[in-house]
Amino acid sequence: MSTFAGASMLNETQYEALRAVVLERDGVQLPLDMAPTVSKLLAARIETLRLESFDQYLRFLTTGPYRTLEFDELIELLAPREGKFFADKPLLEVLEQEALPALIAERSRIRRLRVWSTACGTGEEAYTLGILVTRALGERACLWQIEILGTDLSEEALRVAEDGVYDARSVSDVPAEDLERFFQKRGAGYEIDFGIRSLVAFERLRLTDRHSARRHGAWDLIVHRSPLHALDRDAQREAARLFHQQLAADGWLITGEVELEFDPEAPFVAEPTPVGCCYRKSPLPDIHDRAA
Amino acid sequence: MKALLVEQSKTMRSIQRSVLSQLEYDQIEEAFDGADALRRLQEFSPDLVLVAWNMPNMNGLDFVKEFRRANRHTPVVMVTSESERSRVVEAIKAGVNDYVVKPFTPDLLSQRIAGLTQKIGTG
Repeated sequence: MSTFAGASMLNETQYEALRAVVLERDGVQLPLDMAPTVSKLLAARIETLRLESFDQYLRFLTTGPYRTLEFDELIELLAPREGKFFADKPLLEVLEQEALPALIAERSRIRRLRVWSTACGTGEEAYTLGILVTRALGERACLWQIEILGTDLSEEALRVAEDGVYDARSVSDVPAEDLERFFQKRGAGYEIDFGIRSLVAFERLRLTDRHSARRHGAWDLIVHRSPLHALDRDAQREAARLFHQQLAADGWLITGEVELEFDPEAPFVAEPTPVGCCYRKSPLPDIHDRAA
Repeated sequence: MKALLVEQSKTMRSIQRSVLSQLEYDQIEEAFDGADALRRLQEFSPDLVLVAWNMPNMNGLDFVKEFRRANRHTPVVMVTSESERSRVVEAIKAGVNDYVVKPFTPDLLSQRIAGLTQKIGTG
């Protein structure tokens, strides 16, 4: 029997308290206008736990032996679930017309390309990148070593990504010839082709966890589109430092339509592209310049 | 500052007393179960209550429910070996502010009390 009979909406103090917890633990800033959505999600969670109010939930989340586990549950609740293949047209344009041709030319001798999708959700972006790289390489694709990593905070989202089966809505922007070539119909859904799936790996990673990111080595292309809940200013700078650390010297960082808040100690220069925000690593000042 | 320890085990009370003393609680009252604690509260107004779950006469959960009828603000920490999620939920519904599972290190208990009192603004 349900025991939750409190207010249907988090009040301002409660929402601020929740935002402070999420910010402190994951560096993620919940937008102010998400309060109604979050309230609805939490009300369901409170019923499951058989608690009676938002205040009790906040106490359960911040004290006692289940606070870490409950925080993971909360992140699952808040994770966006509505990814789409080929979703961000400006991003696709920059990738296809600028970044991928340049990288393929620069890597033609070693024939290796490494791509990181930093907030991949349920995997659509990471697989889209796999399709784009495969298309850009054409017949050469089988001669290249292509590695794509999709990371996210949500274990549940990553499980969906690993399954690689999507509904018709998720693939509605995929061009017909790509749908035919890179997907197989499975009942009412579409399963990503094995060839693309074999290029992509998924892993849970916080963008504030530099040590975990470091073990993956340098990436040629990092794609960081702002998720539903954006990083706060400090966390963005920290993420930008991480991208700087993990990006190859001649690599590309693409942030969709979101401008990067970067740290002067880890500088990037904006790449002039017609749409979207692209960055290359700025060469560090010469040691003699720095001495001067 | 004043603290009330509600715990059947003398050894456990001694460990908790030592932690509280280091946190500058200079008046510490001890009770061996919930009913004993309610009696002592007639003449003692603590700034903090540490309470175990399993005790004779009146258990910790019933004590917290009774305590919260008259006192909504004094921080209460449940210190217990009961670690199931449903138990933690029951305790939070009854009105505890934090929940520490035994066995614990004195450092951990100390951190949790300090964190709680700081958050509530009594520390």
